[in-house]
Amino acid sequence: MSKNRLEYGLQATLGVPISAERDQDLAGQIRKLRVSFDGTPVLHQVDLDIPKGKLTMLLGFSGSGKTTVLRSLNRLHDCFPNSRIGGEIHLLLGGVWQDINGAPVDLTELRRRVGMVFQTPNVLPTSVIRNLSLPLSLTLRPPKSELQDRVEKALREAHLWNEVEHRLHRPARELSGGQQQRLCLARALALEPEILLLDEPTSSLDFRSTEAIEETLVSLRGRYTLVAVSHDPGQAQRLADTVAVFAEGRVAARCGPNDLQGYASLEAMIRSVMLAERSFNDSGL
Amino acid sequence: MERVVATLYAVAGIGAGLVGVALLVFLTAYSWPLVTQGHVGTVLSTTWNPNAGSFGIVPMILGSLTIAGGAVLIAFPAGLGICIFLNGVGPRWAARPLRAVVELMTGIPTVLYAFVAVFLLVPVLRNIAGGSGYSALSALLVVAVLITPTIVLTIDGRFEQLHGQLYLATVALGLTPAQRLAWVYLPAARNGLIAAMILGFGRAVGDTVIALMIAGNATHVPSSITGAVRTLTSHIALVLAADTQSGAYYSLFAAGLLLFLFVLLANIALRYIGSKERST
Repeated sequence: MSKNRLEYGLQATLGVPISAERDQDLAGQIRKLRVSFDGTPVLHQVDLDIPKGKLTMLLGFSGSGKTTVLRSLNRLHDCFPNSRIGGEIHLLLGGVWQDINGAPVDLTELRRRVGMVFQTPNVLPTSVIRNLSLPLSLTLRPPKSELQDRVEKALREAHLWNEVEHRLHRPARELSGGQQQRLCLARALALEPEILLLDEPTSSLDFRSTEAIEETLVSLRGRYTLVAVSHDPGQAQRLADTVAVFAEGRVAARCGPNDLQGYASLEAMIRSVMLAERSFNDSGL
Repeated sequence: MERVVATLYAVAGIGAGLVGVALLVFLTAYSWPLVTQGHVGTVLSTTWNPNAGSFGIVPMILGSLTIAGGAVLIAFPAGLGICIFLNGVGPRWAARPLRAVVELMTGIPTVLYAFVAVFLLVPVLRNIAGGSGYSALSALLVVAVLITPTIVLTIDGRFEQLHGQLYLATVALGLTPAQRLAWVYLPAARNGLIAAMILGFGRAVGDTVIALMIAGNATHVPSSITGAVRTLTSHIALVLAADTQSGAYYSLFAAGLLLFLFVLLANIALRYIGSKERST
């Protein structure tokens, strides 16, 4: 049953239409996305829809291109002079659809609206509160009187307030790895993003910290559009609303989280998808 | 094999440490007669007149501090500015060759700086400020050029470390390069900045050739920055070249000891900063 659904997902992926009128339930549409580094292609013609207010999980092995897709959504590839990017990336930001890869874009504003949390916690070498208030005051520039409230709100959203309210002025690096990662999440949330990108946010954490982050992500789903990268099918089943399986720089399949059941491992699932792709191609459809 | 390598490292480390200790013992032992014979006051006076039995090295201490301090005052902001330019504020096409030039400057022999300054800088200062042009100002300007690469590379090393940890995170937060440098890198690199300043000072106070060739070598207390001065290093070089027996000769050990202590203090300060940085 699951395999059939995956195969169906594969066919759907290969036949994604480029619609002039975008679905109201979408927050993003990627079309024919190509990325290369030093002339070596990393992504090949990726098409992907990102549903609004849902958690889209990009699943795949290391090097399959999922992080590259994620970094295309906030134009982080611009930081690497050896990268080349082509195709269309339409995002719904501030109620307006923008092709962030085509038209001139205010990158500062784009990155504020499309927040990102990285694989390993990268807190600023300053206090807990300053980790949130500094980017907030530099980008959104709220009145000083609002700053404290916004910081508290973001820390509460990241389920961290109760653990840090008495040590807001202590160095952020004194926090545990899981707390630091939730601080990074809070830092991104404080900037009031519309889309939140999560690059394997639990891969460097222990079981308890992973659980805490996952609980936080579940609570954020619905209020934010989330795009997360993972190589753990179990995590995709627990968190995702939709799943895009990446292999060799392509979307090999798209499916729901329940379709992942029945596979012993990510490897087994991807092998099945690749087989399905081959038989699909061989059929000449 | 591992044990052999570890032993070699240990021997090298202990050997290097022993050289330092031996230097300190040697300089202290040879300076000691000045204490036992009651000549400390003579050495720590402002008059250098060996023929009259005055071996005061205070003018040279002041000369060293004027040139080293002045050079740091110029080189530190310049070095910091270059680092800021190299780390995101300046365009990539300009940053890369500039970094190469700074790295190249570290390998230029000191005597070349002094040699060029004799023909290019000294005449200009002579025309502007009068006198011979051989002055504390000439020397400190050239020493500033000499220590700028040291300062740049020290700060740049710290920035590079921060860059690896925080660059993408700050970009993803929407910070501009200027904001990233001003609000994240600079506060985080505070100890690195102090270390760069101390290293620069250590390099400047230890320079001999530039001071010898263009500071003027006058042995009186400097009254103006455009006046001629003599540093501790050039004093040792000059006296040693002409004298090996008199009381002046023995006062050199006190000068050497002071220089050693300056550098030692700078190193202790650096180690303190390093340990503080590791603990935060």
